[in-house]
Amino acid sequence: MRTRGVRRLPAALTAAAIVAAVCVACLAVSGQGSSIDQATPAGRRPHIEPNYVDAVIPPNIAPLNFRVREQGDRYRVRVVSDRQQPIDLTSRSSTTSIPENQWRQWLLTHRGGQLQFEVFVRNESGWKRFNAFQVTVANEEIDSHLVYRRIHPAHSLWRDMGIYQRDLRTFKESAVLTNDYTKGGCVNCHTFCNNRTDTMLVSSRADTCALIVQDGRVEKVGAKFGYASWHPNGKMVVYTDMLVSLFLHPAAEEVRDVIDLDSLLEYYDTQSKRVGTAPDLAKKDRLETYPTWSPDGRWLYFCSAPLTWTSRNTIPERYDRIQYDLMRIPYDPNRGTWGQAETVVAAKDAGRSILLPRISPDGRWLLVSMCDYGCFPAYRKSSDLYMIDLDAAKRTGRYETRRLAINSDQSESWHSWSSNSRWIAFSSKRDNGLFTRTYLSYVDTNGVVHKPFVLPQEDPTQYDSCLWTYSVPELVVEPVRTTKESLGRVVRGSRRISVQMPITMATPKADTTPTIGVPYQAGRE
Amino acid sequence: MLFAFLWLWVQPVLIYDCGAITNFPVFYKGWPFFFQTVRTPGGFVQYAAAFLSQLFYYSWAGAAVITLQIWATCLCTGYLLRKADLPAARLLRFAPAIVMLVAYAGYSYHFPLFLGVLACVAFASMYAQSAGRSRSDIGVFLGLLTILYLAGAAASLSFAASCAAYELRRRRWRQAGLYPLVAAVLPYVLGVLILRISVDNAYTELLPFSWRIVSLPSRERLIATVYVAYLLPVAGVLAGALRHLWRDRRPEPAKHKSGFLARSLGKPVVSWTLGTIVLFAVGGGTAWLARDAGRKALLEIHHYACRRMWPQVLDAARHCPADACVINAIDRALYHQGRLGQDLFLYAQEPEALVVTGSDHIVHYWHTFDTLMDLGLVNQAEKNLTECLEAFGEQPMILKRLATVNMVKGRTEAARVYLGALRKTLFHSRWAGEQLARLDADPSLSSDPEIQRMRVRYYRPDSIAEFYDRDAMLTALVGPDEPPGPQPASGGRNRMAFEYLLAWRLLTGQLGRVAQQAGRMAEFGYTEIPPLCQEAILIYAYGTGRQVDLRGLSINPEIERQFKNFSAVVNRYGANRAAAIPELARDYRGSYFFYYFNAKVANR
Repeated sequence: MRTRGVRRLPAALTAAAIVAAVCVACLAVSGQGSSIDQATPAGRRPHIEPNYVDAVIPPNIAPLNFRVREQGDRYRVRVVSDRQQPIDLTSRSSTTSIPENQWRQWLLTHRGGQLQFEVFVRNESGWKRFNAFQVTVANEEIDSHLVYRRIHPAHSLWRDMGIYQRDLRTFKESAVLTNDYTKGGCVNCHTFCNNRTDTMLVSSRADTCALIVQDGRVEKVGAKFGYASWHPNGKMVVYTDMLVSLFLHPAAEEVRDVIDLDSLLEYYDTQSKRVGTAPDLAKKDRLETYPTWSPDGRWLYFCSAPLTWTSRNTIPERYDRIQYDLMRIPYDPNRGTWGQAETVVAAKDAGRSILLPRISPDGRWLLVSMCDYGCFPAYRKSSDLYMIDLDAAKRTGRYETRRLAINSDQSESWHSWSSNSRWIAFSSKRDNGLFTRTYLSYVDTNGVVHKPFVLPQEDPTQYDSCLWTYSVPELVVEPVRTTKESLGRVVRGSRRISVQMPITMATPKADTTPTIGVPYQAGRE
Repeated sequence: MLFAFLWLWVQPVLIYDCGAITNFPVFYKGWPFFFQTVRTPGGFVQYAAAFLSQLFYYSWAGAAVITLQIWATCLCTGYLLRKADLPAARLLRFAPAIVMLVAYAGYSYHFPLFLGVLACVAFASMYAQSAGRSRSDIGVFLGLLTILYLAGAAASLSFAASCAAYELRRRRWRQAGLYPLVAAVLPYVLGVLILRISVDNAYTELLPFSWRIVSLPSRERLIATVYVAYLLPVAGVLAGALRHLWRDRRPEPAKHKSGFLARSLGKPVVSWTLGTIVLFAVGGGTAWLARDAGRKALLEIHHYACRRMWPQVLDAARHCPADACVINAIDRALYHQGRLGQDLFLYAQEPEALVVTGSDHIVHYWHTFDTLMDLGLVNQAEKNLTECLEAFGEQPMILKRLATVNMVKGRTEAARVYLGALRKTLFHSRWAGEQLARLDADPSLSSDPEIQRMRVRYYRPDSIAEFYDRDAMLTALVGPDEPPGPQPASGGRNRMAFEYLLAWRLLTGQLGRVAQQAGRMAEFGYTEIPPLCQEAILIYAYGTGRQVDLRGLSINPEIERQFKNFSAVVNRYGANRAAAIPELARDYRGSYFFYYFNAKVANR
């Protein structure tokens, strides 16, 4: 008996040691070693990244994981609200990862309310409590998916790029079409009809074609589709046909710049499979671009600038004076006829170039980018978002542009609306001036756009070393179901719908490449 | 010996620095990169190749990695060939090693593909070892094929071919027929249907005819070695199988009585010795013949230029055929050695190579863009480095430069992103950490003299016309020509730009404009006019009969005397100017007299 007892002793001691070690570890991890209740107040809010402080968030967004940028060896985030018991998240690292299930539960409980985050940081002098910060959970959901283009901040060459979709409720990202499928060719200009993905368009420069997806069927149209907009009935897509040229600045902050040396608007009828245009969409002395339909399909809004040069091969000397007006043209969907274009907001009145009009699906708000000059707001630091109240314009006959308070001192562009008109997604360079990130903002019923927040990532430090730019974020209510294999197969396939262009360009000069010293070469190794 | 050859002659660090190698892999520490890489077929091999390739940063470590790769391939190939009953397997196993050596000695980068070859022969050896022992060869094959497909993608096709050939030898026709069929179907099922990769990638990833390689000249270089490396083991096993089948069908011929020589050769010691001699002769001969000294010199210049090792650049340039990148590095080295105005024409020159703008060649050795940075042409450098990033991938040395570009431009948050990426690399993490700490301490980098110096050069009026125009861009950096010149637009004296402008005008024969700049020498701190400019001024003054205002500086009488002698030689040949070239070359090579005469006058 005694021998057995002696034999058991080491095992018992070992077990006791393990239990003690586990207890100590648990205490250490949970930070119970010193009292958090006696934490000294820091007297300010913590620095957190990404900055979600005071943001309004959708009730169906993925967890807002963040990093506390305060020195310490223990971190605790306490989520407080009047609708639940406080919940603590403790970590040795400054990164707070919120469990997805718990997060979903919080959002469900706090829909229309606020979540309050208290941050505690422990350093050598003990625990420090920072002032709480809030995020407001909106009542209205954001569309479940976001489709964007992911590319390096390239100039005229790319290696890996593609169109990706992100489930906004989780962190799942998947490829819609990458240039793996087009043997390195560019893919861009993804456009959806009514925030749905069963009708969509993707352009590919690999074979200079556009992919039209309708009800799961993919067709390749043998034409170069630029910026496009689907008619709400899904039977027609209007697009820009442009002679785009990249030119470069030797001593400006942004090296790249873009000019359309010529452009016009055309439309593709998906039923007759024909391309057409209208006189006011293709004026010889104007550059028409960025079409967008009103939700009732009776107006096409677009941007237009005077074409004052004759050469299609050189950048005009006064390229920095080109400013686009906001125009619109009536359309009768029953007869398929176009009316006369009229100016909505003149650039000379706004003092800026008006670009990228996008109307909220409820027809109330028109959101535009405005910058000092040119046609490509993503490359203009001065580009800001402006809102126009279309209801007020109907009443007063005046289209007033209102600069949004959410703008930064960097470029904001490529905005899109959610299907319920309560959320916008847009591209912004506010974080660093170079890499475009996607921001989401809540738009209330009065058209007030609330503090934007960056698209949350599972690893909140991801943006610190992320060399991708995320551009053209489009909100959609469902994932793109057409597989990338199907799209890739059609891009590579020989079957294509040949279309006859109604006119070539304002000045029909075939096979001329615009140059400023050198041509804009794409895709060379 | 292989290790020594790779370490001391090939020097894998030259491959690491990429130069014109556009498929050198990027590697980041941490799980996200691992998961991102391994989630597609071939990812494991790619990940391993990316990691091991980083060791090329140290030549000795890179040489060890390559030696191990070659050794393991030989080992597995030998085992496979022995199992296939191929005579001379002991020697033939080295065949893939020799072709791999050819690839490395020729400075092509096919490391991941050779790793794919290694995976194939290793798995084929495993199959050969287990075949016959296991009850279900097909099961073993399927298991290995699936694992290999996930790890090495389409490289598994070679494995399946080896296994089928091996089964031929064993007269197991069902397996021999089934294996190629399964191997053909598996990429579609596993790659396309389950893992959702494209058909192209499913069937070609890690094979030499992948679209990532084909039609890209820099990647197709010596790609034949990969084909051979893939096919040799398969061909060996197949040859063994056919020999076996052939021998079974024909009766064994009666053995002749061997002579002394045959008996001697039959002895293991003799055959081993002879085999070893043959191996060393073939291996050594191949290594010797495969050496690409020109390409090595080119990569050395890139390596030294990136590290600002100017004497070494000039030394390596002696062994290298002149091209735009080499000339660019030479000119930059000459400037930093204070010899540009004196020794420019001792080296081959091409005007456009002085400043490589990136307008003509997007893929370039990125050291050419360091010249742009040194000059203060920050945006041109940024544009070209961004193109390089696309062409070469997120290589640490490009990230470093882009971080610097953004620091100079005051876009420090963007610099942080590049530094953040650099922080995750193996060997540049510390530098990135230091730079991030520096940014934390001084966010505007206002106390950094180097950044401040570059900023002074960067801030100037913007004019899109000067982006690719060398004369215009250099003039913008030094200020207008007309003496007395105002303060340069850059607000500081950019001596490098001034010397480059002079060099550009010398190279393009703009004598009048060189003479015009003579009055500005003092402005840029010269106490005497650089000899080549003196020569140009003399040609201009005598040619046009105009006086040149040298603003207190003078022409060296010795140079004047040389000019007279030079003119005498030229005059002696009268109208047949071209005939004077050999004599002039003997006595005046390296002088501007000769360059100008040769390039501008002789064939007029």
